[in-house]
Amino acid sequence: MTDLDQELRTLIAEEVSTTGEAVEADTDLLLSGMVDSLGVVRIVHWLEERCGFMVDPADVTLENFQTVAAIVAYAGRRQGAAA
Amino acid sequence: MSTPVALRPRRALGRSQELIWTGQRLRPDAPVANTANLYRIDGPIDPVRFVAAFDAVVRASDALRTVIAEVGGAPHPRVLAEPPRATEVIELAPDALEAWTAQRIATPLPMDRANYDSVLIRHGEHDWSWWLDLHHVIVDAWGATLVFRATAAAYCGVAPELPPFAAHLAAVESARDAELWSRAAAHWAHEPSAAAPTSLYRSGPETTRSHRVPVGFDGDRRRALDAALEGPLKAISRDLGVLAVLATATAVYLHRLSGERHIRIAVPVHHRRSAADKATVGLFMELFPLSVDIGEADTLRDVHAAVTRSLFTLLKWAQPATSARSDVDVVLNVITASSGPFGTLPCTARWIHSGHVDPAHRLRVQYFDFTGAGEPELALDINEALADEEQRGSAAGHFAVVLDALLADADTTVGGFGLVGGEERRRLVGRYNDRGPGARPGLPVTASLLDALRVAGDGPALIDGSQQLSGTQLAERIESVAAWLQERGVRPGTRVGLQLARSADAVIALHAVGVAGGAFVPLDPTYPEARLRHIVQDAELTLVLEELPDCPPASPRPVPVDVDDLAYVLYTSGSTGPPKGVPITHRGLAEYLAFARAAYLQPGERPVVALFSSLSFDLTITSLFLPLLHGGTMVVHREDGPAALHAMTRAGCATFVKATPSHLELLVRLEGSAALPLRTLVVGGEAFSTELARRLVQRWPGVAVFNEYGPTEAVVGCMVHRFDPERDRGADVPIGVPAPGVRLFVLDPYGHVAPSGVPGELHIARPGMAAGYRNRPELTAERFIAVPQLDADRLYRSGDLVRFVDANTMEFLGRIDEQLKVNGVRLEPAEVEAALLSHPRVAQAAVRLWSPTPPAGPASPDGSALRRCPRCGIGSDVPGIAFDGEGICSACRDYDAVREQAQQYFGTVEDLLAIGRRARGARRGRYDVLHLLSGGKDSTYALYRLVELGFEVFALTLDNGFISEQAKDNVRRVVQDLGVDHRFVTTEAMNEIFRDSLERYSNVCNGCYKTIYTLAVNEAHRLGIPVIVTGLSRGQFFETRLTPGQFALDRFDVAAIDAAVLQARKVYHRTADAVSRLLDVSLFEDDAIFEQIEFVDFYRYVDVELAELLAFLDARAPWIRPTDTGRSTNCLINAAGIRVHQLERGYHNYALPYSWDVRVGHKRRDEALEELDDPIDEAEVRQLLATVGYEPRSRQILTAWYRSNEVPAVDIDPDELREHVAARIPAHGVPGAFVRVAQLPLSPNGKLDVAALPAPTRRHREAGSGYLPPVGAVEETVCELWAQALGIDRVGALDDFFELGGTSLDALEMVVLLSETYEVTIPDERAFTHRTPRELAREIEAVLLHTIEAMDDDAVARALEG
Repeated sequence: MTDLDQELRTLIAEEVSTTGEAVEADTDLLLSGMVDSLGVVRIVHWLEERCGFMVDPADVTLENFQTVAAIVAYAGRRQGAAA
Repeated sequence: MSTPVALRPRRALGRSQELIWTGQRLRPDAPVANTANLYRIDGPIDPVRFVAAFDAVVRASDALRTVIAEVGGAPHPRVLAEPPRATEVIELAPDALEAWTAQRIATPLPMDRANYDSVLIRHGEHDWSWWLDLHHVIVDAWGATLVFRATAAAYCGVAPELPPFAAHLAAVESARDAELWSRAAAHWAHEPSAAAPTSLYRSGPETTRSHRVPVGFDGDRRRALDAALEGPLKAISRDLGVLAVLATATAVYLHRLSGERHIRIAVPVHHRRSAADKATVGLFMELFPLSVDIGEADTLRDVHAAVTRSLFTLLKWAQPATSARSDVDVVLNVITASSGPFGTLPCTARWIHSGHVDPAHRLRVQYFDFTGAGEPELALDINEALADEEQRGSAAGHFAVVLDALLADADTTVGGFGLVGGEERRRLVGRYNDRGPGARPGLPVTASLLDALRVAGDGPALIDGSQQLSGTQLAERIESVAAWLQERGVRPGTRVGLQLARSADAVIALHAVGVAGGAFVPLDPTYPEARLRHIVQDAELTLVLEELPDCPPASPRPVPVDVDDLAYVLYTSGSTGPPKGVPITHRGLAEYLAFARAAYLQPGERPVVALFSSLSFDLTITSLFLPLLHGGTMVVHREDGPAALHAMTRAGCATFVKATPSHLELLVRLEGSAALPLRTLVVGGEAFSTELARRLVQRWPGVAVFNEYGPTEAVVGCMVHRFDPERDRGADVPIGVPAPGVRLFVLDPYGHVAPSGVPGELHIARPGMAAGYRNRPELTAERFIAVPQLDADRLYRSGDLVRFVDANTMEFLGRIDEQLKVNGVRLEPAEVEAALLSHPRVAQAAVRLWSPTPPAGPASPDGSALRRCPRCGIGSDVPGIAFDGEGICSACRDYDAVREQAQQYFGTVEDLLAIGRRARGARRGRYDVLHLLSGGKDSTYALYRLVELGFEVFALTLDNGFISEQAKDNVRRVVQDLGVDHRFVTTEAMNEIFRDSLERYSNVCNGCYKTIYTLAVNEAHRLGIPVIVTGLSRGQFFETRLTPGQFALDRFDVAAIDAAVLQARKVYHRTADAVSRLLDVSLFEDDAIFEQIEFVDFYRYVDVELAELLAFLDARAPWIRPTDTGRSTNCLINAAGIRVHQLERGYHNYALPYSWDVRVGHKRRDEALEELDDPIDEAEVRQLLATVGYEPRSRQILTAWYRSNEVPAVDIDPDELREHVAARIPAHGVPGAFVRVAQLPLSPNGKLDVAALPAPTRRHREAGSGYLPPVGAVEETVCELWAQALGIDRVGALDDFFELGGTSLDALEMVVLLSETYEVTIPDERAFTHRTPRELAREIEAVLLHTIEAMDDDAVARALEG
């Protein structure tokens, strides 16, 4: 899981962040404005490719995407369910 | 065979740049793309340092140094080495700034010289402004902010470093090779195009003039938005939340104003993904269409949810440069780009609107925050074509009402609130209706009639041929007959039938009934017997006068007649049902006549009135009463129609004529009619064109022309407009203002007052209007309603569509139930007619939607006899089918040629067993195959055989909500008999999918099939089943997979067909439609699923004849042919699909597959024809269509009938007419057929007789419909091949393959065919991105050129020799 955590932080810092601030596991991505809607969709796409599952639009919520840790947890739940 | 080469021509500009460049080029004189900011800087500025700082920024930005010349019609950008323009420094007093900016922004920035304008303005030592106007072709709002910040930084000594915009353009170009790009492009290419421009408050001429109207986004509204985004309308991010709220408000606002259910809004996507992108000055932003469907019962929350889903899809597919079309003319901009201070100096930014916008964006909803202080503004940029000044003033209020409703209570329905309030409401509801009190009569007019006639004395009161009666004589005759009637029991309330032809006798009888105290009921003797019988019964007439009684002079007893006693009953025809009786009291009659006298007669005027219209027509009431009540003369003409007008002209004495426009159209053309001493023309009964009104005032100079409007129910006329040739310039003469005492309201479909300019139903309140329909309580309750909000306890719903032109004028648009809709967009025939009339050779025109009556019996829709192929039974009504000399159809002949070859496609039971073994190896669960069991005979047989062959089967049945109970019982029995695991699946979205399928394909089956396949793949995926077995018949293979096109390719390659089918399946499942919107289609996004789960057609491997199949089922299975569908199908909604297809496409949707069943020997010809002939219950179809919410369009074609003014008359070239009309009105209003007639037919009442208009023949319909001939050899070949493949006569260079009826598979085949023809490789996805012959031809030419360039000289020489 730490791989996913690191990869996500790199992705956000390099391709998504609108602020350029450091991304930690618990950095607020959404309410801080660091990630805008296009960025969220970019993360969703990346996650789908990286983890091999599809993300339902209904799953794209603050709860699942607010921080890197939340995204990692969401991915874990999805993969756990598929296994 | 050539090697594949890249197919892409190099693009000079980015996608959005192309659009903006084109928009500016089309309007070189309008500042449609100037985006200007005025920065006010609070502090000292060193001008020299400032100018140098901006120069340094320009030097650092390739975008700012870009100039774009036009070379051969194409953009040719260059990046200059030096800044193309210097910053000016000027001095200006602060109060002169406003005028200066207005003047400065009015000049479009010259794209070929410099795309910016920078001016430093000194107001004082510590007060400066910086004017920075940037052409949108090089920069978006974000980029403009970067320019500001970089300039501020450079001023403070930080050298600007800006990443090149060229890098972004190059990155977009190279991304175009990626698969994701192709998928995104295919997604957007499948978005339906908008049918017509958005209409809001009016449809004015096209202009670039646009006005910014602030909606007001004060503290309260801002706090409401914040609260909503924290609560009920919460979203993943604030920007998405704001966007979703504004898009919802915009969609509902558009729906409420236009009545459209399918709303499309262009939404910008910023495309700045990387840190480098975010630092680059340039135009990244690209618009993508957001689609949302709104239902009348939806809540605002429903719409918000739909918008959010749609936004997510939009963002997902918003890859740079993939947007397809730019026909969405409503744009929602959310701009948050705050500029901040200028270095250390405080600075505020103001966005200056140029007042001009590319008319391709007729409405822009602008939400912008440039200050960064969290105080965003909201404004509408409204094109002048959509609203006049007053309407624009109200528009912001209407938008705010919607937004506030959404923020305050999202559970309100979309129609749950009124838009009109405040001053607009006072104007439309109050002042417009304030025309003084009505007549408030105390006595019936019949009481004063005899007095009036006696006052007239010896003057002529009634003339009928040689018969002439003075006032005194007429009064005596009326009295005698009245006394005779009283003797026969006539008293107040008694209804007396008058079955008399128009004559002096009829006039005497009519008034005698009134004087006797009774009510007259006209029975026009020219009406059909059945209609007259109905009236006699319905009105319960005990006395019917068929001639004037021969009675001695006598005086009637004076009877006390109250104003609320009945005066007459007229019978009117509606669009449905028998004629309905409209009872009118003396109060109503007196109210009308008092109004008519005041409106039409000068004091003391004694009109000479021609009576020539039907006595049963309420228009005639005016002529029957007015002259006799006011000392005038009534001249009766017994002739009908044109003959009556001749007679009137010969008599030459009428000063007052009331008639329909159709009658006046005849009168104005009659030789000698100019000599009529006409003073007053009152026009009623139908829409009255301004063009005719002009001819009337030209022919009779000084004549007063009145357009009187009024339904029979509201007594003859309840509003009027006096024609003014100077002021009245619309297509139709307005209907004006209410009569005294009358109140009129325009209400939208939700029952709220419609804004000024917006069409709505006219509701009427008048003292003395009909109390209801005789013996029709339900219809009465429907048409006469109470609207407490308008303080109206009884309003008559007229069924007429009207709108306010301005606060004092109303315009008639037509009957609501006859509304013309083309592709779902409302159309006003009067506008099309006016456009046609402006053609110098057109004398008269009528425009209607024409549709063939449903095919009945052996005749095809255009009237010629239906031919059937003697072998397969297919009819000549199926498009693309030709018949040879022996009468054999082209499909049979094509099949003959390839019959042997086609056998290769089919396999054996051994092949099927091999698939089974493969499946067992690949399965992840208990089952080898998932079988699609519809419950019909074919799939049931297949299931038995699959089990018999040893397959582990899971059976799946879609319950689409309309499967017959008996069919479901069959399914239950069969799976139990076989011991097979089975599941019924269903979806709540089924009705919406049916509706979508009917809209797209005019059938229900396509949507149903796609649902089955989608649910089946999901189920197979869930259960780990690698194979899905279908029960498609062999006939269906030929219809859908082995199309004749495949044979024409002369490459009957089974592997190639399978590959193409697989490709088509990918496209099929990724096409945006109701299924993709409403079901879970996420599996299909990954190509792997199409390999993991294979579709196998059972009948590809098993050949069985129908009789054998039925015998098998009979012997082995508890399967009983369903009888509860009344048809040879197990699906109840099938009948509706078949009917819609017949209506809209003109033939049976099973005709083609059944003909294939016959051709391949599965069915006999008579069996197929018998199934096609199953009777259809129309009532049931209506019920079914209502259930799924679909209104059949029928195979409508907008048709123009015209009379030529040439002698002798000849047909005008339809292309000439089409171009003429297209230059004046939007494209959806251009008729598809033009039919010349010698005369427009009239009904007995003198209105246009629509039913008598001749049908446009196929010749009319197909003559040049927007055809653009191909240019160049490649284009010609592509057009020719398309025409062959699609079985149509000719294809134009810009025709869309899919709009011509091509399927995905056809398109793929076409790409294969073109690849072979030109020996190049065209990637498959071009089939979906390049949809016109011109686009494909360009691709082919580019490849050919590239190939030749890539060859060495020897190869070229060899190729040329070869």
